[in-house]
Amino acid sequence: MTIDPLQVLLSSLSLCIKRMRLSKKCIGVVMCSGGEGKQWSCGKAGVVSLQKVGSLVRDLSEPCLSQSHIQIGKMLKPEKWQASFDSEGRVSGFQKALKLIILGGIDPSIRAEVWEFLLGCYSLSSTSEHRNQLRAARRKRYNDLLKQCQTMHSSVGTGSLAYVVGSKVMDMRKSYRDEAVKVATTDENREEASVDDNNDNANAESHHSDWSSNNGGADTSHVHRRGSSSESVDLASGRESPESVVYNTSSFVSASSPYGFPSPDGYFDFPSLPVTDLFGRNSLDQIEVSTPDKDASLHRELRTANADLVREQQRSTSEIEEVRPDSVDGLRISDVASVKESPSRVGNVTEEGVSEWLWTLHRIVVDVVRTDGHLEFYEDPGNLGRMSDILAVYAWVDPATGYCQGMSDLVSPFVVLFEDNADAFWCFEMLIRRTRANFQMEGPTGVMDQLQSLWHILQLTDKDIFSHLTRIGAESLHFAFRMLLVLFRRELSFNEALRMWEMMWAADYDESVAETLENDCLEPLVIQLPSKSKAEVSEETIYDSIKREPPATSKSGPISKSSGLLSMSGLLPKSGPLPKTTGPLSEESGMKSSSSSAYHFCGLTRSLWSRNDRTTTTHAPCVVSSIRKGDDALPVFCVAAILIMNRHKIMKETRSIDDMIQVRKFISSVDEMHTDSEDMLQIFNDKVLVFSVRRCIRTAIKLRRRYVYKSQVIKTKSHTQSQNQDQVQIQHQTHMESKKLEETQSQRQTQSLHHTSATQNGD
Amino acid sequence: MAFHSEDDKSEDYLFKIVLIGDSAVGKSNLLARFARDEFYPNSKSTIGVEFQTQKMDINGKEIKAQIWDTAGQERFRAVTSAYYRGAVGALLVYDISRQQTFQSIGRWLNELHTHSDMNVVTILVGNKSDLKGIREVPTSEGKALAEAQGLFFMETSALDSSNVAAAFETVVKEIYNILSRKVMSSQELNKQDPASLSNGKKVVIPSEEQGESKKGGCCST
Repeated sequence: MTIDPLQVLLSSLSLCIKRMRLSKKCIGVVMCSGGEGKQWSCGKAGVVSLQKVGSLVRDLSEPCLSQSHIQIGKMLKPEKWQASFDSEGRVSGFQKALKLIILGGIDPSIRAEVWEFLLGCYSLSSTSEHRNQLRAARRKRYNDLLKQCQTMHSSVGTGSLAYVVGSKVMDMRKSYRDEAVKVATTDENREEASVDDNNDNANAESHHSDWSSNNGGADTSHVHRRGSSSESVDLASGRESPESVVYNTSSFVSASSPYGFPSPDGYFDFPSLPVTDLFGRNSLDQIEVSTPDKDASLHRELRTANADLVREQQRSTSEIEEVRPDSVDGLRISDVASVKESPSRVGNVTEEGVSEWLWTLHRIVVDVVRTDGHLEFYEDPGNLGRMSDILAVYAWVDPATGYCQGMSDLVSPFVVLFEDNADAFWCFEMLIRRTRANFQMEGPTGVMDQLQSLWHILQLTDKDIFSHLTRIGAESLHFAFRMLLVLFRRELSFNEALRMWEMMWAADYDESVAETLENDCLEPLVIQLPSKSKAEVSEETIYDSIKREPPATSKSGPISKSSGLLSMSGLLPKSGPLPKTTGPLSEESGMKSSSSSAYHFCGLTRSLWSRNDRTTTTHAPCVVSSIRKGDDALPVFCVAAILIMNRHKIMKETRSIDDMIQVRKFISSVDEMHTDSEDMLQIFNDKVLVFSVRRCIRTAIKLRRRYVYKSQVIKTKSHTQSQNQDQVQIQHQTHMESKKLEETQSQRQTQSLHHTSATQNGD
Repeated sequence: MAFHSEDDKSEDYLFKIVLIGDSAVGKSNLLARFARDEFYPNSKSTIGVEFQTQKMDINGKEIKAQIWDTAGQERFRAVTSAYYRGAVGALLVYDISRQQTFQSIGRWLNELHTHSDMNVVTILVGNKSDLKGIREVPTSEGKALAEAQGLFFMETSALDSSNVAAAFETVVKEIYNILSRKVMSSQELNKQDPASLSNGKKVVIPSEEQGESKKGGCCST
């Protein structure tokens, strides 16, 4: 008998593959119990089923947070950190610290302190004295803002939540009263819709003005921004099928289309507040009749009053504003008045602004009570109150962003880490400055951009996974959406997510980014420090230095400016959704850019910038330098790393069943996880796909380097090609890549068009 | 081709159903209760889109319901609108203890009809029926609205399980019935373009869908 050599080869190959799979699993387990798995000592023993994790985390969350000895291996330890300050408290050896953080994170005992530098709350060259001043000023400002919020809702700052939310019960009676204004506002639209059923332009127009006036100045910027993309406005109506008339869709569509914000992907926005009820008065009347309590009658009065006004008057902002206070209960009026008189609040605090905020507050509470409920820390309702306060203050100072789901996931770690709410607030605020594009009213455009980047990264760095995902139709990459929006908080345990954050921030740290962040400072947060420290800066020089910076980001190419880190073009950030002209803050708009005080906000000075520019160029590790060229922040590379590291598993798991379902199954698996396995990121819930955060970061950094290199090669190549075809010998492969790149780019440009037609055709 | 052939395997019956409604009305818990018989009092807000596939037995046929769960906050709808595509069923959920969530139903219905087929089988679901003490939306109101809009109606409680399976089953059964009727009539019509039966997207046929999706490019699904 002869042995078929091919047979042998095949069988050994399959054995090989089996081993690989096995070892893959082993890697996971090994990492669990070895390398970084010391967290088990907090009480977790062995592998736990996902169901039980919740309660386990409760048992061990607190000790885990404070124990510093549990982490082994490289990380930034207190001794190293203390040693990096000079006698005046300036940070001198930050690059070393960064390297350690990238390798293994920060010792939890110094985490809060280091984060303030990582996030850019304080500049490295600030003295401890300066920082103390700044901290004091920030705390004062936060408390002022908190007081403003308190006048609008007395619960703010008291440690109790604005609305009663039991374990499962949410009594909305109280909030309902608060929302009465909102409801009334809404009703104007309803009335309008039912009175005038014609889906003509005039109707749409009136809705438009109605809505913008309802929202007062606070949303002017949105209207503008949305308006700017009005070329796609007709899409919404175009989508209507004839039958929709039956459902009176027309009124809604016409109401929404003026501010529908078609993104590059062609998705639509629906204004949050004007609840257009297509059932018009019928359902409303039912509600009124059948809910004979005080709230309902108040509601009815408001509605009638406003509706009449709406019918009789041309809706101009001023008229509405004059009228509205009369239709609101007395308590509210006095509250508003006091807010208006508040000295630190510049601009006009509109009734709409207040009711908008109250409505937002309600949303905040609804989400706060279900954020990190597994942590023992949040069993204390006072801590939930803290979380709610910070989000409420933020929504007040940034009405253009307000509150968006996901933000509570981001603020929670700061509440845990910082004792003082003001400190937590400022860190959170700095994080949101980077990620604001993810939380906009128009939709999470930042994340959508990042998903596009991710697609391109995969295309350039891993052909296998790219073609596989293409084959199975997973181009949307939506399974990565949550990872990017809440920065792996839902995929990782609390502690691991924090570690991942600091590692990513360290890898992305670049003090020049702080310049951009400075420009992104919200008006009400600009702080004036005593003139002593101000003297360090000369206004002109700052501007010179900024202007000299090439607006590299504007041509960030395939990579988006999604992180908001690199969006500086000129003085004002392009994507920085600063509510420059928004309601309460409008008075000062334009002022900030000419006020040097903004630059003291983070304690940055001209001298510091120049010094750090030098530092970065000479000492910075490669991982830092890449971002300065306008490429993207690390999170998206982390997602790419996760996919690439698990290439085989993904390709295997997402191929066996029929393709479309497979992709969706994949998405589902990502999302189904109830997480909290320490140290590990899991993608498939039962078919666990694990790896360590450290490895993910390492891979992501390498990937970014490779990606930046490849993009540059392509850029250089195409540039050279256009200049002089003969000068450079171009490899065939590179040529192909470049082709693809160009295709993708042009595809992206026409994407909104494509998507549009896709939507219109209803697939 | 999915459902025009009699000897189709049961797995070919895959109905996409979307769960929509305001934040915190209990969409995710309805799904958790239905698909896994679980309930999370502390469940987190849904970010992005999740889904779960559940096998069901309708008239002796095995049917898979692929149930999509979306974030409730308006601004996410920009993203989630893509997920309406191909939906043949919908659960419009409100919270009987929060009037506001009921008032949003109209907007959600518009949303549904804007982004998906008009013939989506829809049930209006008043969730949290266990919260009798603080009910704000009377059953009669929900019923009246459902009748006016031609929707099915049911009050459910993901907490105590009441009516949860029934709500999903109502939708799936109706889809199945419509489908069966259409299949029959199409067979009579000598197999017209099967896509016209269901706008070509109701029952997921992998090979077809794949072809379409390839054209989409990144992030445009």
